[in-house]
Amino acid sequence: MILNNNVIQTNNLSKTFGNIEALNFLNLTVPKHSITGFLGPNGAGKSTTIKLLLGLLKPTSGTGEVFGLDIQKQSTEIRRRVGYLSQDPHFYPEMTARDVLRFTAKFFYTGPEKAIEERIEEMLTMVGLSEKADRKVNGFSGGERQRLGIAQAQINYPDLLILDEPAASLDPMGRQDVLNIMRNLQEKTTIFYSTHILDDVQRVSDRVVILNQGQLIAQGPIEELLSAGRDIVYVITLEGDTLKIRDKIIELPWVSNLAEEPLNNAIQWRIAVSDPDKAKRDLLPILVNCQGITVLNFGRQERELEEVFMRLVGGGNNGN
Amino acid sequence: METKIGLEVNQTQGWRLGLKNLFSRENSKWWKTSRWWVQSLVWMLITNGVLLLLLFLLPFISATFEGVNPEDLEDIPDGITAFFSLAAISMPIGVVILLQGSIIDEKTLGTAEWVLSKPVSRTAFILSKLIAHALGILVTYVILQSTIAYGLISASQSKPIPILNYVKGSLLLALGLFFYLTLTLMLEVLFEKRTSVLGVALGVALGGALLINLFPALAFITPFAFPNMIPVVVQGLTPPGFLFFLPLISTAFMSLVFLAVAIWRFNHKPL
Repeated sequence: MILNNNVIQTNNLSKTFGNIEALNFLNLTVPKHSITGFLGPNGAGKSTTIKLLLGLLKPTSGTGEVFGLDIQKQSTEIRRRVGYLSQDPHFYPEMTARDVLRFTAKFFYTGPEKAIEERIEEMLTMVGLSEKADRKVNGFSGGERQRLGIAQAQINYPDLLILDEPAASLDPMGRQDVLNIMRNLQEKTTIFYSTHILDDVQRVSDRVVILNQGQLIAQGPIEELLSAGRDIVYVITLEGDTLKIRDKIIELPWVSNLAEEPLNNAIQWRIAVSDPDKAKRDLLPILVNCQGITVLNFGRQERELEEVFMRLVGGGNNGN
Repeated sequence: METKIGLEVNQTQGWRLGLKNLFSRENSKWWKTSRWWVQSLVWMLITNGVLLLLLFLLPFISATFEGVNPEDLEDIPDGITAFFSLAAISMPIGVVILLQGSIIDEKTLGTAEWVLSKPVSRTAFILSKLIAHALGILVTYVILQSTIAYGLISASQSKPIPILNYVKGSLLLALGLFFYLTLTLMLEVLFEKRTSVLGVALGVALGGALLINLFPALAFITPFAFPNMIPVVVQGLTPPGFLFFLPLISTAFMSLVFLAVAIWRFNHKPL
Protein backbone atom coordinates (compact mmCIF):
# COMPACT_ATOMS: atom_id res chain seq x y z
CA MET A 1 0.00 0.00 0.00
CA ILE A 2 1.35 3.37 -0.98
CA LEU A 3 0.88 5.91 1.79
CA ASN A 4 0.71 9.26 0.06
CA ASN A 5 -1.79 11.82 -1.03
CA ASN A 6 -2.59 10.10 -4.33
CA VAL A 7 -5.99 8.54 -4.74
CA ILE A 8 -4.96 6.83 -7.97
CA GLN A 9 -1.46 5.60 -8.63
CA THR A 10 -0.37 3.22 -11.36
CA ASN A 11 3.02 1.67 -11.96
CA ASN A 12 3.80 0.70 -15.57
CA LEU A 13 0.20 -0.36 -16.06
CA SER A 14 -0.24 -2.04 -19.42
CA LYS A 15 -3.00 -3.75 -21.32
CA THR A 16 -2.76 -5.68 -24.55
CA PHE A 17 -5.66 -7.06 -26.57
CA GLY A 18 -4.15 -9.67 -28.86
CA ASN A 19 -1.55 -7.73 -30.84
CA ILE A 20 -2.92 -4.35 -29.89
CA GLU A 21 -1.17 -2.46 -27.11
CA ALA A 22 -4.06 -0.47 -25.73
CA LEU A 23 -2.07 0.86 -22.79
CA ASN A 24 1.70 1.02 -22.43
CA PHE A 25 3.48 1.44 -19.12
CA LEU A 26 1.11 4.01 -17.70
CA ASN A 27 2.36 5.81 -14.59
CA LEU A 28 -0.64 7.83 -13.56
CA THR A 29 -1.10 9.82 -10.37
CA VAL A 30 -4.27 11.56 -9.26
CA PRO A 31 -4.05 13.51 -5.99
CA LYS A 32 -6.82 13.67 -3.42
CA HIS A 33 -9.49 16.36 -3.91
CA SER A 34 -8.25 17.20 -7.39
CA ILE A 35 -10.38 17.51 -10.47
CA THR A 36 -8.26 15.73 -13.06
CA GLY A 37 -9.18 15.89 -16.71
CA PHE A 38 -8.20 12.83 -18.70
CA LEU A 39 -7.63 13.76 -22.32
CA GLY A 40 -6.69 11.94 -25.45
CA PRO A 41 -7.92 11.24 -28.95
CA ASN A 42 -10.32 8.37 -29.64
CA GLY A 43 -8.58 5.06 -29.06
CA ALA A 44 -5.92 6.61 -26.82
CA GLY A 45 -6.65 4.18 -23.99
CA LYS A 46 -8.76 6.35 -21.67
CA SER A 47 -11.67 3.97 -21.26
CA THR A 48 -9.24 1.04 -20.97
CA THR A 49 -7.49 2.83 -18.11
CA ILE A 50 -10.78 3.49 -16.34
CA LYS A 51 -11.90 -0.12 -16.73
CA LEU A 52 -8.59 -1.36 -15.35
CA LEU A 53 -8.96 0.87 -12.30
CA LEU A 54 -12.46 -0.51 -11.68
CA GLY A 55 -11.54 -4.15 -12.14
CA LEU A 56 -13.64 -4.53 -15.27
CA LEU A 57 -10.46 -5.51 -17.09
CA LYS A 58 -7.33 -7.27 -15.85
CA PRO A 59 -3.98 -5.67 -16.67
CA THR A 60 -1.49 -7.50 -18.84
CA SER A 61 1.32 -6.19 -16.68
CA GLY A 62 2.02 -3.51 -14.13
CA THR A 63 0.11 -2.54 -11.05
CA GLY A 64 -2.32 0.05 -9.90
CA GLU A 65 -3.71 1.28 -6.63
CA VAL A 66 -6.81 3.25 -5.78
CA PHE A 67 -6.98 4.52 -2.18
CA GLY A 68 -3.85 2.45 -1.67
CA LEU A 69 -5.80 -0.72 -2.54
CA ASP A 70 -4.66 -3.07 -5.29
CA ILE A 71 -6.88 -2.85 -8.37
CA GLN A 72 -6.72 -6.61 -8.95
CA LYS A 73 -6.83 -8.07 -5.46
CA GLN A 74 -9.00 -5.50 -3.71
CA SER A 75 -11.28 -4.41 -6.51
CA THR A 76 -14.48 -4.90 -4.52
CA GLU A 77 -13.26 -2.65 -1.72
CA ILE A 78 -12.32 -0.01 -4.29
CA ARG A 79 -15.75 -0.15 -5.88
CA ARG A 80 -17.43 0.42 -2.52
CA ARG A 81 -15.86 3.87 -2.48
CA VAL A 82 -16.05 4.80 -6.15
CA GLY A 83 -18.84 6.31 -8.18
CA TYR A 84 -18.66 5.56 -11.90
CA LEU A 85 -20.40 6.99 -14.92
CA SER A 86 -19.67 5.15 -18.16
CA GLN A 87 -19.62 6.69 -21.60
CA ASP A 88 -23.14 6.56 -23.05
CA PRO A 89 -24.69 5.03 -19.93
CA HIS A 90 -27.45 2.45 -20.19
CA PHE A 91 -29.75 1.22 -17.49
CA TYR A 92 -32.39 -1.49 -17.31
CA PRO A 93 -35.11 -0.10 -19.59
CA GLU A 94 -38.02 -1.36 -17.50
CA MET A 95 -36.82 0.66 -14.50
CA THR A 96 -37.82 4.21 -13.71
CA ALA A 97 -35.18 6.77 -12.73
CA ARG A 98 -36.14 6.27 -9.11
CA ASP A 99 -35.84 2.47 -9.50
CA VAL A 100 -32.36 2.86 -11.00
CA LEU A 101 -31.18 4.95 -8.06
CA ARG A 102 -32.79 2.61 -5.55
CA PHE A 103 -31.23 -0.41 -7.26
CA THR A 104 -27.81 1.31 -7.22
CA ALA A 105 -28.14 2.46 -3.62
CA LYS A 106 -28.90 -1.04 -2.41
CA PHE A 107 -25.50 -2.27 -3.50
CA PHE A 108 -24.03 0.14 -0.95
CA TYR A 109 -26.65 0.42 1.78
CA THR A 110 -29.01 -2.04 3.44
CA GLY A 111 -31.24 0.56 5.05
CA PRO A 112 -33.11 2.21 6.55
CA GLU A 113 -35.50 2.57 3.62
CA LYS A 114 -36.45 6.12 4.57
CA ALA A 115 -32.83 7.30 4.53
CA ILE A 116 -32.25 5.62 1.17
CA GLU A 117 -35.34 7.28 -0.32
CA GLU A 118 -34.20 10.65 1.01
CA ARG A 119 -30.82 10.19 -0.62
CA ILE A 120 -32.56 9.26 -3.88
CA GLU A 121 -34.65 12.43 -3.76
CA GLU A 122 -31.54 14.47 -3.09
CA MET A 123 -29.83 13.01 -6.14
CA LEU A 124 -32.85 13.50 -8.37
CA THR A 125 -32.99 17.15 -7.34
CA MET A 126 -29.25 17.60 -7.88
CA VAL A 127 -29.50 16.52 -11.51
CA GLY A 128 -32.89 18.04 -12.25
CA LEU A 129 -34.84 14.82 -12.74
CA SER A 130 -37.34 15.11 -9.89
CA GLU A 131 -40.28 15.58 -12.22
CA LYS A 132 -39.28 12.60 -14.35
CA ALA A 133 -38.38 10.32 -11.48
CA ASP A 134 -41.18 7.86 -12.13
CA ARG A 135 -40.80 7.70 -15.88
CA LYS A 136 -39.28 4.58 -17.42
CA VAL A 137 -35.67 4.98 -18.48
CA ASN A 138 -36.31 3.62 -21.97
CA GLY A 139 -38.15 6.87 -22.68
CA PHE A 140 -35.24 9.09 -21.61
CA SER A 141 -33.20 11.20 -23.97
CA GLY A 142 -29.41 10.87 -24.05
CA GLY A 143 -29.02 13.96 -21.88
CA GLU A 144 -31.50 12.65 -19.32
CA ARG A 145 -29.68 9.32 -19.14
CA GLN A 146 -26.45 11.24 -18.64
CA ARG A 147 -27.98 13.16 -15.73
CA LEU A 148 -29.29 9.96 -14.22
CA GLY A 149 -25.82 8.49 -14.66
CA ILE A 150 -24.29 11.31 -12.66
CA ALA A 151 -26.92 10.83 -9.95
CA GLN A 152 -26.27 7.11 -9.61
CA ALA A 153 -22.52 7.69 -9.60
CA GLN A 154 -22.82 10.06 -6.67
CA ILE A 155 -25.40 8.17 -4.62
CA ASN A 156 -22.91 6.41 -2.36
CA TYR A 157 -20.98 9.56 -1.36
CA PRO A 158 -17.95 8.26 -3.27
CA ASP A 159 -14.42 9.18 -2.31
CA LEU A 160 -13.56 9.02 -6.01
CA LEU A 161 -15.82 9.93 -8.88
CA ILE A 162 -14.80 8.46 -12.23
CA LEU A 163 -16.71 10.00 -15.11
CA ASP A 164 -16.28 8.91 -18.70
CA GLU A 165 -17.41 11.80 -20.92
CA PRO A 166 -19.83 13.27 -18.35
CA ALA A 167 -20.87 16.22 -20.50
CA ALA A 168 -21.47 14.27 -23.67
CA SER A 169 -25.05 14.43 -24.97
CA LEU A 170 -25.73 17.55 -22.90
CA ASP A 171 -26.76 20.94 -24.20
CA PRO A 172 -24.67 23.98 -23.10
CA MET A 173 -26.85 24.57 -20.05
CA GLY A 174 -26.60 20.93 -19.07
CA ARG A 175 -22.84 21.02 -19.52
CA GLN A 176 -22.64 24.04 -17.27
CA ASP A 177 -24.71 22.22 -14.65
CA VAL A 178 -22.34 19.26 -14.77
CA LEU A 179 -19.31 21.51 -14.38
CA ASN A 180 -20.94 23.26 -11.45
CA ILE A 181 -21.73 19.93 -9.82
CA MET A 182 -18.12 18.88 -10.25
CA ARG A 183 -16.82 22.10 -8.71
CA ASN A 184 -19.20 21.75 -5.77
CA LEU A 185 -18.17 18.16 -5.16
CA GLN A 186 -14.44 18.87 -5.13
CA GLU A 187 -14.33 19.44 -1.39
CA LYS A 188 -15.94 16.09 -0.68
CA THR A 189 -14.39 13.87 -3.30
CA THR A 190 -11.74 13.45 -5.97
CA ILE A 191 -12.89 13.64 -9.56
CA PHE A 192 -11.20 11.86 -12.44
CA TYR A 193 -12.98 12.35 -15.71
CA SER A 194 -12.34 11.84 -19.38
CA THR A 195 -13.57 14.28 -21.97
CA HIS A 196 -13.08 15.67 -25.44
CA ILE A 197 -14.30 19.13 -24.49
CA LEU A 198 -11.03 20.96 -23.80
CA ASP A 199 -12.80 24.15 -22.86
CA ASP A 200 -14.47 22.35 -19.93
CA VAL A 201 -11.15 20.93 -18.79
CA GLN A 202 -9.58 24.36 -18.77
CA ARG A 203 -12.53 25.82 -16.88
CA VAL A 204 -12.94 23.30 -14.10
CA SER A 205 -9.86 21.06 -13.80
CA ASP A 206 -6.79 21.70 -11.77
CA ARG A 207 -4.87 18.80 -13.26
CA VAL A 208 -4.65 17.26 -16.67
CA VAL A 209 -3.50 13.87 -17.94
CA ILE A 210 -2.98 13.46 -21.66
CA LEU A 211 -2.85 10.06 -23.28
CA ASN A 212 -2.09 9.17 -26.89
CA GLN A 213 -1.92 5.70 -28.46
CA GLY A 214 -1.74 4.10 -25.04
CA GLN A 215 1.17 6.26 -23.89
CA LEU A 216 1.19 8.98 -21.26
CA ILE A 217 2.09 12.26 -22.99
CA ALA A 218 1.76 14.69 -20.13
CA GLN A 219 0.35 14.97 -16.65
CA GLY A 220 0.39 17.66 -14.02
CA PRO A 221 -1.24 20.88 -12.86
CA ILE A 222 -2.98 22.58 -15.73
CA GLU A 223 -1.12 25.84 -15.26
CA GLU A 224 2.21 24.08 -15.56
CA LEU A 225 1.05 22.40 -18.72
CA LEU A 226 -0.11 25.67 -20.21
CA SER A 227 3.15 27.42 -19.43
CA ALA A 228 5.50 24.53 -20.14
CA GLY A 229 8.25 25.26 -22.63
CA ARG A 230 7.30 28.85 -23.03
CA ASP A 231 7.69 32.08 -21.12
CA ILE A 232 4.71 33.58 -19.37
CA VAL A 233 3.48 36.62 -21.26
CA TYR A 234 1.83 39.67 -19.71
CA VAL A 235 -0.42 41.83 -21.85
CA ILE A 236 -0.50 45.46 -20.69
CA THR A 237 -2.32 48.46 -22.16
CA LEU A 238 -0.81 51.85 -21.30
CA GLU A 239 -1.55 55.48 -21.90
CA GLY A 240 1.00 58.29 -21.74
CA ASP A 241 4.74 58.57 -22.30
CA THR A 242 5.94 54.99 -22.21
CA LEU A 243 9.46 55.55 -23.55
CA LYS A 244 11.10 56.16 -20.18
CA ILE A 245 9.65 53.12 -18.52
CA ARG A 246 10.14 50.90 -21.58
CA ASP A 247 13.92 50.81 -21.25
CA LYS A 248 13.69 50.22 -17.56
CA ILE A 249 11.41 47.23 -18.08
CA ILE A 250 13.62 45.71 -20.80
CA GLU A 251 16.63 45.89 -18.51
CA LEU A 252 14.95 43.87 -15.79
CA PRO A 253 16.79 40.51 -15.54
CA TRP A 254 13.58 38.46 -15.62
CA VAL A 255 12.16 40.12 -18.72
CA SER A 256 12.89 38.06 -21.87
CA ASN A 257 11.19 40.22 -24.45
CA LEU A 258 8.95 43.24 -24.88
CA ALA A 259 6.80 43.65 -27.99
CA GLU A 260 4.92 46.88 -28.52
CA GLU A 261 2.04 47.84 -30.78
CA PRO A 262 -0.41 50.72 -30.92
CA LEU A 263 -3.95 50.02 -29.75
CA ASN A 264 -6.44 52.78 -30.49
CA ASN A 265 -5.03 55.78 -28.57
CA ALA A 266 -2.94 53.64 -26.27
CA ILE A 267 0.03 51.33 -26.44
CA GLN A 268 -0.15 47.58 -25.89
CA TRP A 269 2.86 45.74 -24.57
CA ARG A 270 3.43 42.00 -24.54
CA ILE A 271 6.12 41.27 -21.98
CA ALA A 272 7.57 37.75 -21.85
CA VAL A 273 9.01 36.95 -18.41
CA SER A 274 11.33 34.15 -17.34
CA ASP A 275 10.55 34.37 -13.62
CA PRO A 276 6.78 34.24 -13.12
CA ASP A 277 7.00 34.81 -9.35
CA LYS A 278 9.04 38.00 -9.66
CA ALA A 279 6.86 39.24 -12.49
CA LYS A 280 3.71 38.58 -10.46
CA ARG A 281 5.15 40.50 -7.54
CA ASP A 282 6.99 43.38 -9.17
CA LEU A 283 5.76 44.18 -12.66
CA LEU A 284 2.51 45.94 -11.85
CA PRO A 285 3.93 48.07 -8.99
CA ILE A 286 6.76 49.24 -11.29
CA LEU A 287 4.25 50.39 -13.90
CA VAL A 288 1.81 51.94 -11.49
CA ASN A 289 4.53 53.92 -9.72
CA CYS A 290 5.87 55.39 -12.94
CA GLN A 291 4.98 59.06 -13.36
CA GLY A 292 3.25 60.08 -16.56
CA ILE A 293 1.66 56.81 -17.57
CA THR A 294 -1.70 55.21 -16.86
CA VAL A 295 -2.20 51.47 -16.77
CA LEU A 296 -5.45 50.74 -18.59
CA ASN A 297 -5.25 46.95 -18.60
CA PHE A 298 -2.94 44.40 -17.00
CA GLY A 299 -3.10 40.62 -17.17
CA ARG A 300 -1.43 37.35 -18.07
CA GLN A 301 -1.97 35.99 -21.54
CA GLU A 302 -4.05 32.80 -21.26
CA ARG A 303 -2.86 29.95 -23.40
CA GLU A 304 -5.53 27.73 -24.72
CA LEU A 305 -5.42 24.08 -23.71
CA GLU A 306 -6.42 23.16 -27.21
CA GLU A 307 -3.21 24.65 -28.54
CA VAL A 308 -1.15 22.67 -26.03
CA PHE A 309 -3.12 19.49 -26.68
CA MET A 310 -2.74 19.71 -30.44
CA ARG A 311 0.98 20.39 -30.10
CA LEU A 312 1.51 17.44 -27.77
CA VAL A 313 -0.77 14.94 -29.47
CA GLY A 314 -0.43 16.10 -33.03
CA GLY A 315 3.35 16.35 -32.76
CA GLY A 316 3.54 12.68 -31.76
CA ASN A 317 5.10 13.44 -28.40
CA ASN A 318 5.54 10.66 -25.91
CA GLY A 319 6.62 10.70 -22.30
CA ASN A 320 6.11 13.31 -19.59
CA MET B 1 -17.17 2.32 7.59
CA GLU B 2 -18.80 5.60 8.36
CA THR B 3 -22.45 6.03 7.55
CA LYS B 4 -24.04 9.04 5.98
CA ILE B 5 -27.21 10.38 7.55
CA GLY B 6 -27.78 7.07 9.33
CA LEU B 7 -27.42 4.91 6.24
CA GLU B 8 -26.36 1.35 7.04
CA VAL B 9 -23.47 0.26 4.90
CA ASN B 10 -23.70 -3.10 3.17
CA GLN B 11 -21.07 -5.25 4.86
CA THR B 12 -21.54 -8.38 2.75
CA GLN B 13 -18.31 -9.94 1.55
CA GLY B 14 -17.26 -12.51 -1.00
CA TRP B 15 -19.36 -14.26 -3.63
CA ARG B 16 -22.65 -13.15 -2.05
CA LEU B 17 -21.90 -9.46 -2.53
CA GLY B 18 -24.79 -7.92 -4.44
CA LEU B 19 -26.67 -11.23 -4.70
CA LYS B 20 -29.73 -10.11 -2.78
CA ASN B 21 -30.20 -6.94 -4.83
CA LEU B 22 -29.58 -8.68 -8.15
CA PHE B 23 -31.83 -11.61 -7.30
CA SER B 24 -34.57 -9.20 -6.29
CA ARG B 25 -34.43 -7.59 -9.71
CA GLU B 26 -34.30 -10.90 -11.61
CA ASN B 27 -37.12 -12.31 -9.50
CA SER B 28 -39.30 -9.28 -10.09
CA LYS B 29 -38.89 -9.82 -13.84
CA TRP B 30 -40.69 -13.11 -13.31
CA TRP B 31 -43.37 -12.23 -10.80
CA LYS B 32 -44.02 -8.52 -11.32
CA THR B 33 -44.45 -8.78 -15.07
CA SER B 34 -46.62 -10.89 -17.34
CA ARG B 35 -43.93 -13.52 -17.66
CA TRP B 36 -45.24 -15.85 -14.96
CA TRP B 37 -48.77 -16.16 -16.28
CA VAL B 38 -47.72 -16.21 -19.95
CA GLN B 39 -45.32 -19.07 -19.29
CA SER B 40 -47.95 -20.87 -17.18
CA LEU B 41 -50.54 -20.51 -19.92
CA VAL B 42 -48.23 -21.56 -22.74
CA TRP B 43 -47.13 -24.75 -21.00
CA MET B 44 -50.62 -25.48 -19.86
CA LEU B 45 -51.76 -25.47 -23.46
CA ILE B 46 -48.79 -27.43 -24.75
CA THR B 47 -48.70 -30.16 -22.09
CA ASN B 48 -52.02 -30.29 -20.29
CA GLY B 49 -53.95 -29.20 -23.36
CA VAL B 50 -52.62 -32.23 -25.19
CA LEU B 51 -53.27 -34.40 -22.15
CA LEU B 52 -56.87 -33.20 -22.02
CA LEU B 53 -57.22 -34.08 -25.67
CA LEU B 54 -55.82 -37.56 -25.23
CA LEU B 55 -57.55 -38.48 -21.98
CA PHE B 56 -60.97 -37.00 -22.51
CA LEU B 57 -61.62 -35.49 -25.90
CA LEU B 58 -60.50 -38.35 -28.14
CA PRO B 59 -62.31 -41.06 -26.10
CA PHE B 60 -65.39 -38.84 -26.12
CA ILE B 61 -65.21 -38.46 -29.87
CA SER B 62 -64.62 -42.17 -30.28
CA ALA B 63 -67.62 -43.00 -28.09
CA THR B 64 -69.92 -40.39 -29.59
CA PHE B 65 -69.31 -40.52 -33.30
CA GLU B 66 -69.73 -43.49 -35.57
CA GLY B 67 -66.94 -44.41 -37.88
CA VAL B 68 -64.21 -43.95 -35.25
CA ASN B 69 -62.50 -47.26 -34.55
CA PRO B 70 -61.83 -47.67 -30.79
CA GLU B 71 -58.81 -49.86 -31.62
CA ASP B 72 -57.14 -46.81 -33.11
CA LEU B 73 -57.07 -45.33 -29.62
CA GLU B 74 -55.11 -48.23 -28.17
CA ASP B 75 -51.84 -46.89 -29.55
CA ILE B 76 -52.29 -43.56 -27.84
CA PRO B 77 -49.98 -43.39 -24.84
CA ASP B 78 -51.41 -43.39 -21.38
CA GLY B 79 -51.70 -40.08 -19.54
CA ILE B 80 -48.50 -40.43 -17.52
CA THR B 81 -46.36 -41.28 -20.53
CA ALA B 82 -48.03 -38.62 -22.66
CA PHE B 83 -47.55 -35.81 -20.17
CA PHE B 84 -44.03 -36.54 -18.99
CA SER B 85 -42.64 -37.50 -22.40
CA LEU B 86 -44.06 -34.38 -23.98
CA ALA B 87 -42.87 -32.21 -21.08
CA ALA B 88 -39.37 -33.71 -21.08
CA ILE B 89 -39.02 -33.12 -24.83
CA SER B 90 -40.63 -29.68 -25.21
CA MET B 91 -39.85 -27.88 -21.97
CA PRO B 92 -36.06 -27.85 -22.50
CA ILE B 93 -36.69 -25.89 -25.69
CA GLY B 94 -38.73 -23.43 -23.67
CA VAL B 95 -35.92 -23.07 -21.13
CA VAL B 96 -33.34 -22.34 -23.83
CA ILE B 97 -35.56 -19.75 -25.52
CA LEU B 98 -36.36 -18.13 -22.17
CA LEU B 99 -32.72 -17.86 -21.11
CA GLN B 100 -31.24 -16.74 -24.41
CA GLY B 101 -29.93 -13.20 -24.20
CA SER B 102 -30.05 -13.15 -20.40
CA ILE B 103 -26.34 -12.39 -20.19
CA ILE B 104 -25.38 -11.53 -23.77
CA ASP B 105 -27.94 -8.72 -23.95
CA GLU B 106 -26.56 -7.22 -20.74
CA LYS B 107 -23.04 -7.31 -22.15
CA THR B 108 -24.20 -5.72 -25.41
CA LEU B 109 -26.36 -3.05 -23.81
CA GLY B 110 -23.73 -2.14 -21.22
CA THR B 111 -25.82 -2.88 -18.14
CA ALA B 112 -23.41 -5.65 -17.12
CA GLU B 113 -20.58 -3.11 -17.04
CA TRP B 114 -22.76 -0.69 -15.09
CA VAL B 115 -23.73 -3.27 -12.47
CA LEU B 116 -20.23 -4.74 -12.15
CA SER B 117 -18.75 -1.28 -11.55
CA LYS B 118 -20.62 -1.41 -8.22
CA PRO B 119 -19.51 -3.58 -5.25
CA VAL B 120 -20.92 -6.75 -6.76
CA SER B 121 -19.32 -10.13 -7.23
CA ARG B 122 -19.41 -11.62 -10.69
CA THR B 123 -20.46 -14.92 -9.14
CA ALA B 124 -23.51 -13.20 -7.68
CA PHE B 125 -24.35 -11.82 -11.12
CA ILE B 126 -24.58 -15.35 -12.52
CA LEU B 127 -26.23 -16.92 -9.48
CA SER B 128 -28.96 -14.28 -9.33
CA LYS B 129 -30.06 -15.25 -12.82
CA LEU B 130 -29.75 -18.96 -12.11
CA ILE B 131 -31.80 -18.87 -8.91
CA ALA B 132 -34.51 -16.55 -10.24
CA HIS B 133 -34.99 -18.55 -13.43
CA ALA B 134 -34.79 -21.88 -11.62
CA LEU B 135 -37.53 -20.73 -9.26
CA GLY B 136 -39.72 -19.40 -12.05
CA ILE B 137 -39.30 -22.51 -14.18
CA LEU B 138 -39.86 -24.83 -11.23
CA VAL B 139 -43.16 -23.16 -10.37
CA THR B 140 -44.63 -22.42 -13.81
CA TYR B 141 -43.23 -25.35 -15.78
CA VAL B 142 -42.95 -28.20 -13.28
CA ILE B 143 -45.11 -27.72 -10.18
CA LEU B 144 -48.10 -26.06 -11.84
CA GLN B 145 -48.22 -28.29 -14.91
CA SER B 146 -47.55 -31.52 -12.96
CA THR B 147 -50.28 -30.63 -10.49
CA ILE B 148 -52.80 -30.01 -13.25
CA ALA B 149 -51.70 -33.19 -15.03
CA TYR B 150 -52.04 -35.19 -11.81
CA GLY B 151 -55.62 -34.00 -11.52
CA LEU B 152 -56.41 -34.83 -15.14
CA ILE B 153 -54.80 -38.26 -15.06
CA SER B 154 -56.39 -39.15 -11.73
CA ALA B 155 -59.76 -37.99 -13.01
CA SER B 156 -59.41 -40.08 -16.15
CA GLN B 157 -58.70 -43.14 -14.02
CA SER B 158 -61.37 -42.20 -11.48
CA LYS B 159 -58.83 -42.63 -8.70
CA PRO B 160 -55.73 -40.76 -7.53
CA ILE B 161 -52.48 -42.11 -8.89
CA PRO B 162 -49.70 -42.91 -6.37
CA ILE B 163 -48.31 -39.55 -5.32
CA LEU B 164 -44.79 -40.49 -4.24
CA ASN B 165 -43.71 -41.88 -7.60
CA TYR B 166 -45.42 -38.98 -9.31
CA VAL B 167 -43.40 -36.51 -7.28
CA LYS B 168 -40.21 -38.44 -8.10
CA GLY B 169 -41.02 -38.17 -11.77
CA SER B 170 -41.67 -34.44 -11.43
CA LEU B 171 -38.33 -33.98 -9.68
CA LEU B 172 -36.64 -35.83 -12.51
CA LEU B 173 -38.30 -33.48 -14.98
CA ALA B 174 -37.03 -30.54 -12.90
CA LEU B 175 -33.51 -31.98 -12.97
CA GLY B 176 -33.63 -32.27 -16.75
CA LEU B 177 -34.71 -28.65 -17.06
CA PHE B 178 -31.97 -27.58 -14.65
CA PHE B 179 -29.46 -29.23 -17.00
CA TYR B 180 -30.64 -27.04 -19.89
CA LEU B 181 -30.83 -23.96 -17.66
CA THR B 182 -27.18 -24.27 -16.62
CA LEU B 183 -26.11 -25.25 -20.14
CA THR B 184 -27.72 -22.12 -21.60
CA LEU B 185 -26.25 -19.88 -18.91
CA MET B 186 -22.80 -21.29 -19.59
CA LEU B 187 -23.19 -20.72 -23.33
CA GLU B 188 -24.37 -17.14 -22.65
CA VAL B 189 -21.08 -16.51 -20.88
CA LEU B 190 -18.89 -18.27 -23.44
CA PHE B 191 -20.44 -16.81 -26.59
CA GLU B 192 -20.99 -13.23 -27.73
CA LYS B 193 -24.00 -13.86 -29.98
CA ARG B 194 -27.49 -15.12 -29.21
CA THR B 195 -27.52 -17.22 -32.38
CA SER B 196 -24.53 -19.23 -31.18
CA VAL B 197 -26.24 -19.96 -27.86
CA LEU B 198 -29.48 -20.95 -29.55
CA GLY B 199 -27.71 -23.10 -32.08
CA VAL B 200 -25.76 -25.13 -29.56
CA ALA B 201 -28.39 -25.37 -26.83
CA LEU B 202 -31.27 -26.22 -29.14
CA GLY B 203 -29.01 -28.60 -30.99
CA VAL B 204 -28.41 -30.46 -27.74
CA ALA B 205 -32.10 -30.37 -26.77
CA LEU B 206 -33.43 -31.51 -30.12
CA GLY B 207 -30.54 -33.69 -31.16
CA GLY B 208 -30.32 -35.60 -27.91
CA ALA B 209 -33.13 -38.00 -28.79
CA LEU B 210 -31.49 -38.73 -32.15
CA LEU B 211 -28.06 -39.14 -30.63
CA ILE B 212 -29.07 -41.84 -28.14
CA ASN B 213 -30.40 -43.90 -31.04
CA LEU B 214 -26.99 -43.72 -32.64
CA PHE B 215 -24.99 -43.97 -29.41
CA PRO B 216 -27.12 -45.77 -26.78
CA ALA B 217 -24.42 -45.32 -24.13
CA LEU B 218 -25.25 -41.61 -24.07
CA ALA B 219 -28.50 -42.50 -22.34
CA PHE B 220 -26.51 -43.36 -19.21
CA ILE B 221 -24.66 -40.07 -18.93
CA THR B 222 -27.10 -37.46 -20.24
CA PRO B 223 -30.74 -36.49 -19.72
CA PHE B 224 -31.53 -37.47 -23.32
CA ALA B 225 -33.38 -40.61 -22.15
CA PHE B 226 -35.49 -38.76 -19.57
CA PRO B 227 -38.59 -38.67 -21.82
CA ASN B 228 -38.59 -42.49 -21.61
CA MET B 229 -37.30 -42.79 -18.05
CA ILE B 230 -39.68 -40.46 -16.24
CA PRO B 231 -42.90 -42.36 -17.11
CA VAL B 232 -41.20 -45.56 -15.90
CA VAL B 233 -40.40 -43.90 -12.57
CA VAL B 234 -43.90 -42.46 -12.17
CA GLN B 235 -45.48 -45.84 -12.87
CA GLY B 236 -43.29 -47.43 -10.22
CA LEU B 237 -41.54 -49.68 -12.72
CA THR B 238 -38.01 -48.58 -11.87
CA PRO B 239 -35.68 -51.52 -12.39
CA PRO B 240 -33.18 -52.26 -9.63
CA GLY B 241 -29.54 -51.45 -10.14
CA PHE B 242 -27.19 -48.53 -10.23
CA LEU B 243 -27.31 -48.17 -14.01
CA PHE B 244 -30.82 -46.77 -13.91
CA PHE B 245 -29.72 -43.97 -11.60
CA LEU B 246 -26.53 -43.19 -13.50
CA PRO B 247 -28.24 -40.69 -15.86
CA LEU B 248 -29.59 -38.80 -12.85
CA ILE B 249 -26.18 -38.57 -11.24
CA SER B 250 -24.48 -37.64 -14.53
CA THR B 251 -27.08 -35.00 -15.34
CA ALA B 252 -26.76 -33.43 -11.90
CA PHE B 253 -22.97 -33.54 -12.14
CA MET B 254 -22.88 -32.00 -15.62
CA SER B 255 -25.26 -29.25 -14.54
CA LEU B 256 -22.89 -28.33 -11.74
CA VAL B 257 -19.96 -28.42 -14.16
CA PHE B 258 -21.80 -26.07 -16.55
CA LEU B 259 -22.48 -23.71 -13.65
CA ALA B 260 -18.87 -23.85 -12.45
CA VAL B 261 -17.59 -23.12 -15.97
CA ALA B 262 -20.02 -20.23 -16.33
CA ILE B 263 -18.95 -18.70 -13.03
CA TRP B 264 -15.22 -19.27 -13.63
CA ARG B 265 -15.28 -17.85 -17.14
CA PHE B 266 -17.38 -14.84 -16.18
CA ASN B 267 -14.97 -14.04 -13.37
CA HIS B 268 -12.15 -13.87 -15.90
CA LYS B 269 -14.00 -12.28 -18.79
CA PRO B 270 -13.12 -8.72 -19.78
CA LEU B 271 -16.05 -6.33 -20.00
